Amino acid sequence: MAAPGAKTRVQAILLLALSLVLSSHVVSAFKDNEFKKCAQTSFCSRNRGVQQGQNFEIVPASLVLNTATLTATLSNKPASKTLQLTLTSHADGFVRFMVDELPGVGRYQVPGDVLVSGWETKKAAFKEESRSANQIVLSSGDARVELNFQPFTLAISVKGQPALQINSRNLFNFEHRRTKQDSDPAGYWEETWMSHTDSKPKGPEAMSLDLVFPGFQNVYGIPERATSLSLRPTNGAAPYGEPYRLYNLDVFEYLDDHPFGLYGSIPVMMAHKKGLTVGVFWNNAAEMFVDVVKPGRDTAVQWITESGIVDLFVFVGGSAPAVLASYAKVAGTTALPQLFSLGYHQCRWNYKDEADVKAVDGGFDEHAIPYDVLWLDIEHTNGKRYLTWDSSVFPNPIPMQEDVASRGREMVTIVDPHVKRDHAYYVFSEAEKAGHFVKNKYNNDFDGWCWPGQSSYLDVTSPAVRSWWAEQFTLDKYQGSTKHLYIWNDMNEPSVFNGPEITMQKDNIHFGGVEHRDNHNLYGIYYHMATAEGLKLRGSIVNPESGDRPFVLSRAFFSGTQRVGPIWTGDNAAQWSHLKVSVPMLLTLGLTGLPYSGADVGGFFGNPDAELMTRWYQVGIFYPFFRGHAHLETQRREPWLFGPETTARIRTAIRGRYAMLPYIYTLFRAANTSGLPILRPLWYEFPEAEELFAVDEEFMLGSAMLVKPVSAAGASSVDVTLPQGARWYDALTGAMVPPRTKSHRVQVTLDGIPVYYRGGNIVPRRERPRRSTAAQANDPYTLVVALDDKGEAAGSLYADDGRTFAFTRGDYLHRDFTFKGMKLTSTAHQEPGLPAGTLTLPLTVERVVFLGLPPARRGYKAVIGGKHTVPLEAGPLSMLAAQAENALVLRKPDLPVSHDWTVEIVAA
Amino acid sequence: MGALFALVLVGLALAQGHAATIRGMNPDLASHYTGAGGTFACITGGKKIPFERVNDDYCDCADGSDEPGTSACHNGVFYCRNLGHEPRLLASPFVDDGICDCCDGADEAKGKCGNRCLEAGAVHREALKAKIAQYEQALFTKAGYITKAANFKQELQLKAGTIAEDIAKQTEVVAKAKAELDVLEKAESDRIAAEEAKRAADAQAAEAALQAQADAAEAAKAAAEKAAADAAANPELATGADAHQERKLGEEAKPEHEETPEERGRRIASQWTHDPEAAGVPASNVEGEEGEDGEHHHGDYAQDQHHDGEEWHDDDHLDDPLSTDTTGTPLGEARNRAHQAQHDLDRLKKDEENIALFLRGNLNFGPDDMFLAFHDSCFTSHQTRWTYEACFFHKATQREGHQAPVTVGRWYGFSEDYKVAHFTGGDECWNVGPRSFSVQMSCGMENRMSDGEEPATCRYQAKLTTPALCTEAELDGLKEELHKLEEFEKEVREKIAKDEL
Repeated sequence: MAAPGAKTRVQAILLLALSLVLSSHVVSAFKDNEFKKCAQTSFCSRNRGVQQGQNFEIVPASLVLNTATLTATLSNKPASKTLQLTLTSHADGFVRFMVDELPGVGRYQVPGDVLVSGWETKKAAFKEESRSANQIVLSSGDARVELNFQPFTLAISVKGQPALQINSRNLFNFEHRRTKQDSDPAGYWEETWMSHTDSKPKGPEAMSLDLVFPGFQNVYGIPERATSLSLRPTNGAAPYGEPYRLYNLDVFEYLDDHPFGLYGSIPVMMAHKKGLTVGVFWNNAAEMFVDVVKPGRDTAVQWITESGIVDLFVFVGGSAPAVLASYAKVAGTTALPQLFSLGYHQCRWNYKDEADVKAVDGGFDEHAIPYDVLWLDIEHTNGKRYLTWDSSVFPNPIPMQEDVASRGREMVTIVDPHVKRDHAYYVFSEAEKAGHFVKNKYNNDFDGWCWPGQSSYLDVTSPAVRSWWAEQFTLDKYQGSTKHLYIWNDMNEPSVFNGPEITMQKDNIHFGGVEHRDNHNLYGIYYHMATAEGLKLRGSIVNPESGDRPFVLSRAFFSGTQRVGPIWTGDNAAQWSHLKVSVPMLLTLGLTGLPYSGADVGGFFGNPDAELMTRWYQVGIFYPFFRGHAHLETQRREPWLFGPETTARIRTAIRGRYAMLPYIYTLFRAANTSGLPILRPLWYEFPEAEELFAVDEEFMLGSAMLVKPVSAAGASSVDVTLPQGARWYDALTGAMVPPRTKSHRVQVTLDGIPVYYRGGNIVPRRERPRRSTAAQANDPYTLVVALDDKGEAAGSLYADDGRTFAFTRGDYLHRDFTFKGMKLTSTAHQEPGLPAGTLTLPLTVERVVFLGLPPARRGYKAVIGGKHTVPLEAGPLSMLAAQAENALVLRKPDLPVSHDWTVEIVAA
Repeated sequence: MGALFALVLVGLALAQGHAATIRGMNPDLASHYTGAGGTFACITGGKKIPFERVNDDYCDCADGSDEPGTSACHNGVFYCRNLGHEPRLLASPFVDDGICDCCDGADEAKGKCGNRCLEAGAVHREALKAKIAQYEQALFTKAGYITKAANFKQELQLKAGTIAEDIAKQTEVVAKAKAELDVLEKAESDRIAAEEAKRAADAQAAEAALQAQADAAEAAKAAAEKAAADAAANPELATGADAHQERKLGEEAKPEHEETPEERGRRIASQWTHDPEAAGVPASNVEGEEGEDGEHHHGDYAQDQHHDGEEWHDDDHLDDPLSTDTTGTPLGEARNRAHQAQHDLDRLKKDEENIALFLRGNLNFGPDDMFLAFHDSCFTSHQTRWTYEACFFHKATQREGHQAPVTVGRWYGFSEDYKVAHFTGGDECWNVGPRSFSVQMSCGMENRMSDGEEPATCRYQAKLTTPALCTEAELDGLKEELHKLEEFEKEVREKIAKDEL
């Protein structure tokens, strides 16, 4: 009996070995051991799960309530130390909870310019509900705050429902500054990681926040990582035994299902349950570890941060849109992008030379595929000296850009924050002379390794460095640039190839003597900000009257990046799993105020086959930022290189994107004014449907469209969930599809993925497949009127010049469309606090498509403006693809888009 | 009868009137746009619409045929007449989009674009003239290949009949010259030996002492080797402390190298690029490498193409001047004679080889042996990471940086039309089999390899331009095209002069 057993074991080992070989290209990719885990990080390991919250007590006599602000002394009795606790009620729907040492200790706080201003002074008075020896209860609007003294705990409820508890699990901690003692444990004053020693001159100064979301089963947020939308517990099997980490890092070949933190960090978490959404934002830029566990019906979080202060915003608006609107008051809303930047971007590492640029640009016209922007990666430079050109391959960059621009398109070059240490390179010599570089712990210019070799890093945390950097982008300074050239900031985590975890040493020194430890997660946003300021400055010179909106893509990000520009999810891979995870990654960014984002279509590493490429484009057209990109060593993959059938499918997909742009741009305007996401999880739109709370395999584009990606090879069908309480229409055929709580199987072909219109919405479109957004400027609109059960629908259309800041003074058009009582009306959209739109465009609605009109024996006719009458005709839902004519279409009403009008639908 | 006839006439006139004014209509399809009966039938699909819906800026036909002159249909086709240049079919999304596509400007509103057709035509003609000149040059080069190949073969033919005999004769000559030389060299060496003998005796004592030392060292080395062999036979002995000891010794010999910051930077950079030099290469180096693209020769045949008049198959070393003795002594002269004889024999043997290869071998050098010029030629193409090298009639390799090249194929032959050169049976590729390489060839001014891709795993390809693939027929076609264009331009200019446009 032994022999067969042994044989089985041998077979098993062989199988294991074989599977290792087969999967090695995936397994070997992410170098787990190149990055720290909690246990290898002193501040995390000495706090994770350590119950020391009972050490902290409120000193009752210290309590002062001054209208909207409560202050108290928080005492750490065993340590004989006192801290200052501040609780403030703000008018914009949040309560701010701060803990700091006494003034003068000088712990780091995130500078005000990372967030927006204005909200600080808008406060809402606390009403004292009750006070006892061990408790004070306050209320403000719908929020009720209960502060218990011994030990210190805090409980917040919203509209009578428990929303958040602090220190209820006894995990709160705040390490005060101290003097060095011989008895101090290892790791307090120095720690070493893979030959890098962090000198930690200020010693331990970590904090642990103990947050419980009572009755909440789902929490979301704290990007960036490739994982599910609803955050899984971190006490599970590997790799989910590690806390989520927020520390901006350049992670080579990241995995598609892993808690590890990637290029950007937004310390915002949202919890949702039936009837209540609550959000928190810990305004802190140091390294963080976040444990999530789900005891009983609750979700409990331990949030450990290396340095800085406790500065926690608790958003109590009650719903996801309200939470995001309040967060936007603090961190800002999405900058209204250049319209061109919502078109398709074609990128590759690298388009080799001017002839290559010409050929790729020409390829799009030859295949009648729209695109707006052609990108040049690092090889376009002279030896990775950014803002220069390799003249052997790009001898005439200005005519090249002008040629591309002559067809209404733009170009982008990459500009990274590492500066080649070369005195003959003007950027380096000027910056060195002016002292613009980050310093090492010896106060010399930090010298790290990146693409150009030895490099120094601009200290963009300094306002002076940022304004100097901004000046580098004027047309006279950036040689070979034109007003059609926009910028891509990569490697701004910052990526330092020979630094610890491929970034900068924590004891490096920034402007104002700040340690890199304190502001690491801000480096990216500050660099991004400075570059965008540069393009703004250039725009103000080129067009003094209205300027030019900057377009700068960044990889690293933080709270507030939405005000600067888009981000993308970095170096993903040409794998189905990466296509799949792109959806929860982007949904998470939308729920944390950074909706303008996208994943590289096709996957950066590796070679996608025609099917993966097709499916990725079919999903990618819904990404707010839509770019195809590929690694240096991959095979060429411009959309027409996969055979005529695939070219046709990709053409259809990209043309579909351009048709949706009026709707997408209108969604961006809502993001710009109110902080609303572009891509939304199903629960955001259906917050009472518990079965949707963890769904991340389909998503909504705005409130009107539902999309089900196909993210598996060879799929001939997919399971689709269509939420109850809405009517759904197939967006290709117009056929009404009944809602299904349980997902149901839908047949798919390679020609498309399931997309639905949600009844109750009016969606503006442009159905002429132009070569670029600029070429669409004079095209008429189509309105898709998808009726709900009451036979009603509403929607809006926002338009402006798509380029300048003229919209800020009212040069925009914003219309509301409603269909009610069989009347379609167009009225001006009014947004409180904004100048009224005054722009008149000589454009018309050429087509109105009605979905869901009840059958009428002799059909319908439209009475336009109470005067002439036109019968509704049978026609296809979309003009972009040959489809059965089973929608009811109002043909060529030529309704002026800038004016009020009414169209009445009556039975013929 | 007369009334009916008149009606038909009116109908025809109307139809022509319609056709003449339908914007963007392809004249080949004019019969569809007559407006007969006041309706238009979509060209495919059979749907009928009122004729006034043609070009009304709303798409009614699924095939886009009702809107040849607007952008309303996603799949419409706009016809540019482009008088003075050449007509063009334009996708209708490009109509009225603010960008001039037709050189006559007809795709945009009047006055927006201006007519660039004559200029476009002129540019086109100039380009054509340049192409013709290049073609002529390339054909001249090609003719040179063919003539040289013929001359070369002819020479070989002349030699072929007597080569065996010539070699036999020359072998005798060599033997004789060597014998003479041997006699003289023997005498010389005897004389030197006598002189040396004395000196050797003096040195012997010292040498003996040295030898004793060397023997001792040898004995010690043998002992060490035996110990190592024992350790290998008994692995237990090599584990634990001993192995540790060994490693330590090794480290001492070559102290363990702590990664420098630069090395770490390069290592991390190479994760992305697989190129240890990717980060931090000065731009000038990169430019230097770019310049190496092109053709070189590892053998003699092609090299000599560049030295007209010289014999093609001389091996350089055969004429090595360093091997000539210039002392003028009898021994020196004998040496020169022997050397010359050997040289002549080597040449004959080379001729014999060439006769076997080029006259009697089965290598196909193409029509008129036009590819004979490629024999022993190698072409290289530098890509970002890889350098491809194709040595015709031999093999092709792919090399990364300074690593050893991988053989991606051995010479297999040309495709039937001589437009592809195949190399097969290269180094094994895991799960795929032997690598293979193909070179897509086309007519060009010079021999130049470019690109270099791996469209499927371990299947490589590159492109090569060569004069060998240029043909007279194509040149004639180009000349004909130019002639037509010139005639056409004359006509258009005359029309313009007569104000007919």
